[in-house]
Amino acid sequence: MIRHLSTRCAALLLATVLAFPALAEPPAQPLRHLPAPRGGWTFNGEESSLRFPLYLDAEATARSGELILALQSAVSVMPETSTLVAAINGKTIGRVGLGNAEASGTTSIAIPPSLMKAGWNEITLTASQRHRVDCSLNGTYELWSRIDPARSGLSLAQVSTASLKSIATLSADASGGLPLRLRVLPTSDAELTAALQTAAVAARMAGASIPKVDVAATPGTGAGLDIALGTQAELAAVGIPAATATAALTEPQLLGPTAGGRPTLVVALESPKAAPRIGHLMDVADDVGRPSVDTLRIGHERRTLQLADFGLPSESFSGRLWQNTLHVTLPSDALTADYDSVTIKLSTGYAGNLDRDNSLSLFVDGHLAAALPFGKPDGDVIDGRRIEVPLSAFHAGDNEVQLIAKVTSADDLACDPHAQLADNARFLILNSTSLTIPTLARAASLPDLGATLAAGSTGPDATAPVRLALAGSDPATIGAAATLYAKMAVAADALPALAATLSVPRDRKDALVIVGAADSLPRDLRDTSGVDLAALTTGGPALASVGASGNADTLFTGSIANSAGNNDPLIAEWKKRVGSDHSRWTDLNGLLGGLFQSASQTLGFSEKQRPAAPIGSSLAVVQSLPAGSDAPITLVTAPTAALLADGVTTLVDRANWQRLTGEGTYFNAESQTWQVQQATAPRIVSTGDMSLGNLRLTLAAWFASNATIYAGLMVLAALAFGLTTYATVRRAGVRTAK
Amino acid sequence: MKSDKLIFAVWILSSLVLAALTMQPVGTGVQLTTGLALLWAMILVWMGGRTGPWRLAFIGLALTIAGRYVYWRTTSTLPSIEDPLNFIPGFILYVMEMFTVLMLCISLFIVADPIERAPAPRLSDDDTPTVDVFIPTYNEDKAMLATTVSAALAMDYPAGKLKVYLLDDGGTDQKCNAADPVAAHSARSRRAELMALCEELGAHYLTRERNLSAKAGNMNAALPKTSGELIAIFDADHGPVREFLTETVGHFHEDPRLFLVQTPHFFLNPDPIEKNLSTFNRMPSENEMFYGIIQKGLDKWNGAFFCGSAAVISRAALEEAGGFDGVSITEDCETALSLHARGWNSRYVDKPLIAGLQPETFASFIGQRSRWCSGMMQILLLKNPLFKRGLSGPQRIAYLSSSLFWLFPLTRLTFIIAPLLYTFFSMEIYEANISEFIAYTTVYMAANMMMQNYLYGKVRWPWMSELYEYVQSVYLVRSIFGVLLNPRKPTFNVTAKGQTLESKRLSELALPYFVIFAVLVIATVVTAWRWYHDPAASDLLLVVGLWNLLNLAVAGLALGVVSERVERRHAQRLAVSRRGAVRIDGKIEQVLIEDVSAGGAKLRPLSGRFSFDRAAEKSGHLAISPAKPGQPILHVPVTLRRLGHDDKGVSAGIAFTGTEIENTAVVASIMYANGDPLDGFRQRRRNPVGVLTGTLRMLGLSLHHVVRGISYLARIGQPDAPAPEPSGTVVHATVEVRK
Repeated sequence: MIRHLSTRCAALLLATVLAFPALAEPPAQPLRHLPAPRGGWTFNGEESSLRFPLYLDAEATARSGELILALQSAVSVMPETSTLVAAINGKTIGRVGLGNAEASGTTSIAIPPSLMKAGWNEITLTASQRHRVDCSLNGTYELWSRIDPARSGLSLAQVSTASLKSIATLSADASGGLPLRLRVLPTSDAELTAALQTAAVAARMAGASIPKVDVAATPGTGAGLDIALGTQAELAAVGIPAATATAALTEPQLLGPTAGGRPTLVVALESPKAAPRIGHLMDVADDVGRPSVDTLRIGHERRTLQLADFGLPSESFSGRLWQNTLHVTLPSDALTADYDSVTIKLSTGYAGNLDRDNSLSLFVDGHLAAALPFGKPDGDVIDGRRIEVPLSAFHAGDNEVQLIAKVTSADDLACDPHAQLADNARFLILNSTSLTIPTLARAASLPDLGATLAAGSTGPDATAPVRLALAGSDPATIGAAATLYAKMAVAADALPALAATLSVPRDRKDALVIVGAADSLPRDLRDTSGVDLAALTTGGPALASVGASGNADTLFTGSIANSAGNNDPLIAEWKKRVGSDHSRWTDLNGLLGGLFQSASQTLGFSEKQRPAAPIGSSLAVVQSLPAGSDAPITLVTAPTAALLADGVTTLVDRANWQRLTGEGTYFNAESQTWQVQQATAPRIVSTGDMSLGNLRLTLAAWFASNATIYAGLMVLAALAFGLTTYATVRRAGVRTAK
Repeated sequence: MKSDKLIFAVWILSSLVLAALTMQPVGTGVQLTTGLALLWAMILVWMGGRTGPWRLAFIGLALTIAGRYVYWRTTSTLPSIEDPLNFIPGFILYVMEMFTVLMLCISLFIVADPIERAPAPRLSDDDTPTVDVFIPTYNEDKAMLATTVSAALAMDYPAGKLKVYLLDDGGTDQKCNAADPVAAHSARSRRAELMALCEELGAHYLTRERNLSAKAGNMNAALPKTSGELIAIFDADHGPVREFLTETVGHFHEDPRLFLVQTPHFFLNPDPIEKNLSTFNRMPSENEMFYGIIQKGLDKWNGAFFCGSAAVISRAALEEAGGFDGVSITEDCETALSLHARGWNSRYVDKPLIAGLQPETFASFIGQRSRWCSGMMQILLLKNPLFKRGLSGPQRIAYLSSSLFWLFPLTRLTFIIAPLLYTFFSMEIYEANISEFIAYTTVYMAANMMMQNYLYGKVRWPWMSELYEYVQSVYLVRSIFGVLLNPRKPTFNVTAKGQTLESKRLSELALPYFVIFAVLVIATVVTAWRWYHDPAASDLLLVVGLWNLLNLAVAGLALGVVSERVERRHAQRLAVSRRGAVRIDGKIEQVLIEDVSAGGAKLRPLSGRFSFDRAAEKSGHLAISPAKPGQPILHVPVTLRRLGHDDKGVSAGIAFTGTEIENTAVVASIMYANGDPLDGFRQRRRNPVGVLTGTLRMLGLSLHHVVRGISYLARIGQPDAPAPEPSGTVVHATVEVRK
């Protein structure tokens, strides 16, 4: 019914002609690179958007600037119908044609001062792409345009100030990350804590999505920030002027950048164990605030979120495959299971004469959770249609909800360019479309890296301080720990308090994150980590280093032998081939064994098998719940400290950070692959809410994962009810029966 | 007592645990697993038995499924109140469903532990109380009354302690002096005829001045004119068997506070549904669920109530209460309610001891049910058992069950209309997806069907309750609203019985059933069309379509119900087995009497052939051997109507040609010799049919009767085709041949 919802063709062509920017001259001032967006730098498919937070000070907003974009498109992108629209704070500032030769160069779009505001701004780039010759669904996967982050950014008249607030205007590096350098190697727990906190505050202020912290005495170059935190003597050793160091005793000082260098944030300590005076820095950070994030955080209470709340507009779409992604962050101690469902209320529509197998699908973390088939021959307008998505499709922490509408037509086979140009709308979605998250049980299912580490906490209580223990005090390990904590701070809603130590405590009653190379970890940790980490020592360069260090654990090597030399599959294969040891008895035995195993696992009688880290892993992030404890221990380790630093830097990349789920996340640097180990026997841990309502939901969540037990209990309770009723009834009424 | 309290406490605890578990909000998948586990457990318990702990365990499992459904239905399926267009009908549907669940709970309470009464003690002649038999009549014909009075007089009871009264409301002074001279003449003739009949048979004729308070008033008028300690009441068509009093009176000796002994109503003829669907000889009668199980359940709670006939009532109790109640038009239940509230007790004897007639036509059937429905609604409104002082808790529930039951037209029609709202108007009044529907609704429906079959399988085929409710609902809904608008308005209408139908035809009430059927057919087509063209709604349409199809199947079956078959027989035949001898042409032949009706009998020669020739219309005499030693041999003049041959050999059809007295004495002697033939027939029809078989059978029958109904409809306006001679419906019962 919404055939010809709008014809944007003329407008687009006009806009392309009028607003198409000429090739940009090299910028007069250095580019302020954009921070890396969550999904990377590529526009995929027919409609795709990227959003960039940008802090501007009052001086910058008084002058006009330019948005420089270096774009490259696939050859299949049809220039006549493909554009990129740039907007700042929701107002369009220009359009760029995609798919033509010029577009692969650098273009600039002027930003009128009137559209900029002091504080956080948001730049939105929306690409609309159509295929030259293939209008099929598969053709949409060939459509891409990419921003080159090294050549793109903002050209603004640079005003050199040395105020702490200017940290918010720091440029990202060529890859979109924010390099931070600790100039002084911390030598005490207090110094370590202060250094890590300062780096985290700077990362949050700058709106960094990928903080990268290293430790080196030499000043850094290029984009980023150096942090000099230490005693006056330590500061003097790295070349901080005495006057600055003295001033930094009372409040942090920002030294402007030297030529080709970075600004330096100076924090001075009275002594290595003294608490730093970074209160002022915190105040400035609060004053700067945070950019609007593309994820919505919700609490445990029932909440309805509309697409408008995610900043999405109502939209009509003329392509074949519409998609949009939302991020919803549930509390760390939200227990998700099938005790309720998430209700999607759709306000949408589709045009007539489309294929019958079209649909609107909803994916949660990449898994299809629900679908609404389209297919009425005349199209339809669907207002307020409810779709239930099992709550178990979601999890504590960040959830990626993807809406994909397939609206293909038989006419696509012809792929008539005129039809492409006609731009007839096929699909409509209103931003009043909503999803309602039900009341969530307040308890944690651990281990769960996604709910804890990825959300910026060490345990299910998001308000508890992050306890970080380093298994080594070398620069690489400290850099890895600082990067990790900075990323946790960026991911968390509020800056988490920190208690960092340069050694691993023996007493581990509280939730704890331990960072260190495998060979520097305390031996008992290996046994309690819940995961067989032997493979870490066998992977690539790690093997040599562990072997050389002489720290190879016999238990570990035994495990390696078992893992590597497991002959069972071979024997099984040969037995199968020669037909021996195979009878109905073995079938029956296998069947019964499977049943018993399944039953005992359900009832919790079977011993949990220790999963092994994948062979060749160069980074392992493993969480376990020690017996009798509700405080998870998270281990971030690698074969060597250098691999640890590299691995953590890779981990904090936005796309990779989402891989932190389950009880183990492993990275293989050689193959650049990730593996995730889901929790094999998660335990529900109370987070203190003992109200009847919460207990009911928590119990329901447990039952949802233990269906046979619930069913059995129901049958028993029903029988008990029936039999006690019998006992009651036979004593009541007329008793003189025949 | 202590153990009683302890057990009650444990029961409360188990109920709470079950409720807490049931209300756990586990997901659809777990609910399906749980539902299936509960269904499996029901099957296992079923295999254990149907009585004692097995019965209650089964009920516990089924109630758990129902409770799960109710919780989900209440918390998850109602449309938003902000959407009144869907919410209002959605809420009405919800209320109706909850009402059915309430009725389920009440009925489960009633039939939780039906009791089997021990036989009444046999009393010595000296101990037996005096009994007056009341046979109230209004417009029934003389032949029917003669049979009933004869049977009542033939009951085994000490001489001088039994008096039979014919209470004639058709010959009152008011009627005899009516302004309409024809009506007045008819009333006077009737009075004279019946007085003569009573005198001839040895009964007493009573009438009164005015026709006040219908049947209750008629009997109340007779009370001061009679004096028996007990009063046995029989409807005009309800002939008692000889042992009626010996099976009932002894109970009064055991319990001095007993006011009622009720026995089942057994019918010699099919009701119009049984007749028109041809199920009379193989399917349990509709009332067997009530008399076979529910009354026994009510008896457990001292709540068995008076059903207007086939009962013995204590005069002392009636006099204490001021006679029969007549506020409502169901004086029977109302009287029992009053006497229970006064602390009197009742008992139920589950043995058919009378045989009567049911309405033959669909219209008279609806008329009868309208009266029952109106009467029970009157009781609900005017004498609500919940607020009646003196009743025990279980008795309140028992009477509530009997009166609330008659609200079924509201639920039944709602369940028919509800799916149409989505089909035709896309109104979403029941918010559920296909998975939830399977996990909750389907499991609940399966449990419901299983429970019905478990509890009532011997006396009720699957889907027959739905059919009976549906065919009545279309007209009874008017009765309900009529009583709601004016509770005191309904008047007593005597149900017409003994009617005949000379040709097959559609009932005069058939039109709404064809209209509803047509709407449901259109709805099915529309649903199928939408299902194909609207994939987004296919799940919901599948559910709605299945629901609608079930309604359609029942509605199709109803077309057969309103397509009336021929009924030419005034008097119903009862299959018996009694020795006798017939003399025709001077030749005497020893015979077995195989069936008998008020008009004649079927004889089979013991020698295998008749010695007289085949010419019909010959006169003779039939002698019947006594039912008990010492009783006289009865004779009656007969005429040979025809000689036939069947798979058993030769048989003869004879007509009784004696005086009315001679004929009725013979008929009463053969038909009402004892209750065993009645019980035998009742037991033989109790063939339990499983849920699946019953459903398939219902679907098959539905298809057949849709065709039959449409063929009847197509014949409207055409001359009647000659109908074959009815094979006759014979109540097949056998008794041992007494030699």
